[in-house]
Amino acid sequence: MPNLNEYKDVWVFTEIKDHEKVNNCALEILGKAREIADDLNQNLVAIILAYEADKYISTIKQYGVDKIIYINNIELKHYHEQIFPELIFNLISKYKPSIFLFPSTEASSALSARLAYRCRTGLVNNILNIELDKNKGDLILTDKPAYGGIYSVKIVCPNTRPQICTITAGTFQKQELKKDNIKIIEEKYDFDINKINIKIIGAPTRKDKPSASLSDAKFVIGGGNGLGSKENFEKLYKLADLTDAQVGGTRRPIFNGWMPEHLQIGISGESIKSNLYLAFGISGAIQHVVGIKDSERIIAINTDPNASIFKVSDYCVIGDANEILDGLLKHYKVE
Amino acid sequence: MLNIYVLIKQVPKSDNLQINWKTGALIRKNLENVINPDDIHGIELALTIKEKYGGKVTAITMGPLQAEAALREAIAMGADKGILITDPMFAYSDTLQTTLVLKEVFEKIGDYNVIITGIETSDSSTGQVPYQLSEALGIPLITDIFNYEFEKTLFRCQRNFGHESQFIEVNLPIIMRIGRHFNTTRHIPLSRIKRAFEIEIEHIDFNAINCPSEIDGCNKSPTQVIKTEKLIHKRKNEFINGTIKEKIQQILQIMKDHGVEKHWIGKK
Amino acid sequence: MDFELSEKHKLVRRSVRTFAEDVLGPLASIMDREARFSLEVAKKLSKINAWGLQLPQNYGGAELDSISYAIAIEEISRICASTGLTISVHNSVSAYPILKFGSVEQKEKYLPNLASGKKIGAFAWTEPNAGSDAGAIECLAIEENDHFILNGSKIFVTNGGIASTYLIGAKYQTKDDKKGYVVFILDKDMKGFEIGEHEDKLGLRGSSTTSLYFHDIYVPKENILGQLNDGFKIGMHALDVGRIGIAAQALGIAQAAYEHSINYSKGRIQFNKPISQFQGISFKLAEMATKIDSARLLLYRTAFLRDKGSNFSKETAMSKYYASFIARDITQEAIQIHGGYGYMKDLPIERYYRDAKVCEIYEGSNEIMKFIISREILRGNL
Repeated sequence: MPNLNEYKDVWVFTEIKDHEKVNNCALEILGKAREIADDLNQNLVAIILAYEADKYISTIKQYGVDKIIYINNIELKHYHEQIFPELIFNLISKYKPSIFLFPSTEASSALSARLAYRCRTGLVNNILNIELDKNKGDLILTDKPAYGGIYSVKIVCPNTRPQICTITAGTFQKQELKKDNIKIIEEKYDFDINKINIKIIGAPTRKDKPSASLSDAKFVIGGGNGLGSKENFEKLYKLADLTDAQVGGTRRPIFNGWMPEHLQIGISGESIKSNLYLAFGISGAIQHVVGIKDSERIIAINTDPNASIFKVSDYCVIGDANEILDGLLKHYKVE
Repeated sequence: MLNIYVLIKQVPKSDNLQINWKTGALIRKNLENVINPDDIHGIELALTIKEKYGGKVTAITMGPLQAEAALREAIAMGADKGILITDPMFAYSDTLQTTLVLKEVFEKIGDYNVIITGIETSDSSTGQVPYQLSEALGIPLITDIFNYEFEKTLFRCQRNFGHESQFIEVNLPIIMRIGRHFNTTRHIPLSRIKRAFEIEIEHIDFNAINCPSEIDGCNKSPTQVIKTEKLIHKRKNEFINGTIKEKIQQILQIMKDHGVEKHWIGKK
Repeated sequence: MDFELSEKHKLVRRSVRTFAEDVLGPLASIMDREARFSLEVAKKLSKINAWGLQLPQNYGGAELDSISYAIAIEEISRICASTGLTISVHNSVSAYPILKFGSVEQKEKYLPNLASGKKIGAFAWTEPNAGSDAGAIECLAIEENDHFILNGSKIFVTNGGIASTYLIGAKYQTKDDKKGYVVFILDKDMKGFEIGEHEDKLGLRGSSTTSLYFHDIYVPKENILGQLNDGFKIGMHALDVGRIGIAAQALGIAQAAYEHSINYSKGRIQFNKPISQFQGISFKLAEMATKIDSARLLLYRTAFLRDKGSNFSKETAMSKYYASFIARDITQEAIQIHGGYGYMKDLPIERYYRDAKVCEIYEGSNEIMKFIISREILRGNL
């Protein structure tokens, strides 16, 4: 049994996105983590693994951290499935944080799962809320969706540390706060390159880069597999053009090659906060639904009266998404 | 000849779940159990690999005795064999405990080449086991795969990883995690159902594996569920009825009410 | 006594349901509209062994028991009753009689092709002047040397036109002037075998129904199914089994109409609440649920009796009569619940209604079913 009292401080993994900027969700998490650290009277620590890491430190300083621990190396330019877990596991072993929070991006989800195994501790992913269990020291209560998003379960991790969670974008608010005397600690990069067991052959190709911001759009039109074809999916862009909307979608259109990856809405994509969201041919898997829950109003169009999207929609239309899309297009073209 | 193992889980069919509000537990009585939807795609991949490269497909699940039904379904789809990992000591395992048991099972099996998993289960939605099993067995986990090929002890593929699309090469054994959009699953040939119920399912219990003291699903799972609540989305859930035309008119009205107007200068 | 389906039966249901929803779902209304059976569907049905549901595995069949058979037909018909009929007729009154009464040579010749769906089967007894009065058929086979010469015609032949292998009921007359009923296995390519016009039907439009004409067909004796004088017995036994299929078909249609009614009435808002909350509608739903459960229990018991080897003539008549009766009733009420929408072709409800009606007519009309049931109970088979 580890001595739980040895574990202190709230850590946030401030993931760097595309070797370019700090992940926005990580900044949101810092806001909530600050509250928890204050309640515990402990430090809030941001962890950066990056190339040219100092670039990001000034941003992170704006969000209430007491301490920043970073490792700087060219090998850390992008997430690596062996290097990152090992380096961070070493940091955990050295500093023993009590709580470690991650954004629920693909990379951080993978990283946190690997770390939880190495630390033999618990991980709660995609949580909806987090709070301290009063009078139980540093124990946190986390809520996460389960059973296809119909239920929410409350989970604790009482006997092991750190308590690890991943948090979906949009769950918390960013809060700017500049602390005095922020401690900056550089840890050294130490990884034996011979351990790498995945060999990259040939030149990688870059995937599409985001151009417009889905998360700020007031009107979003979403598409799912129910649209049936690339041609039908293209109609979404036409409608978006006519109505000044943004197009987004579920994971499936990406796999079908209908939509670039950065337009994904949901757990591993963007969360939207639009006034209106129009969902065409979307079944309503929880992975998508968590990304639209902050949309003020949702209209869903699906042929299946039992589609779970209807359970989370304001207006439910049973019908063929294509037919309705055609009708709407016709209206806006004629008007 | 590849030894392919596909990890599956039996889950309650998610369209009509009920919770005992006093205990917070799922009411399992009268519940229809099915193979976790993601895992069916895993079985399909396993069968496809077998058909192309030769080999043997074994479906593995961990759960109570009734989970045998999931294995029989996998066999009906085309798997050669089923293994049920079952023991009261494994009950209530969370992802870490599950991984620790799977580690022992695979070390006992020994000559595995490919382990296939789905992305996540529909009941607990954690998606952690593939990563943790990769840590536990010390073998690579390959996700987001596009094209792949096996050559002797090598595996090559194109995968999406982070910001880029990579061509990679790894030595077997590997874990492949497969999305539900990677393939179209086959329908069960009814002629295999009879056989699927005649085949004997291998059972692995606590005593059959070299269990370290850290395995105890009920008492040593680091995470504990303390409460289950209905997730409330405050939505109107209003059905729009009428002919197609009427439906479109009503949608247009709602759009208008929410400030959507025709954008005259079409964006480029 | 256990009313739970076994895991095996549950898997049969799940497998066929998934197939039906995925493959037949998008095609059912098209097949109805275009009034044709799709050969593309036939190929896909082969992949799940739907053409050989109860045939032994050594002929390429699925070797399912009768409860599984009923479940399979029910699930196919829940999505597409036309396909349900095509499959049901092929399995129960074409493939099955050959398995039960055929010689080893006949089984080896016909069953592998029937099991794989390479050849579709049909059964023809009804004639213009012989419907309920099955003994009144006029098709006549006259013995000449080592063969028979067949003349006559058949009507309302399900799978007519798409089938290659036909079981044909006929009267015969031997050289020494013996008379009786015979069933022949005929191939559509035989000289003198003519397929008549396609019938334009009220429902089940995605299944093929034609008349058949026989002009001096040369029928070798090896094409006799069973013994020469077994014709009537074979015909009636085939129909006993066929009725399980028709009951299952009717049940599947009723189930579909019922599910739609539940969904629609929960979503349709009038007077500010879902119409399911009005007693006028909720009682209809309660009646539907009760009737469907009764029909299903009766059907599965019939299938159970058949598997046990017991006589099931009375029960199969009851199943067919009751399931078809409630299917017509439930599909009609489903239209009522859906109101104007139910009457339009946008929704499949009106198709269910059209498809259900014939279940009260074919494979022996419900009046004949009651005749069989009453004959049995008055004989003491209570």
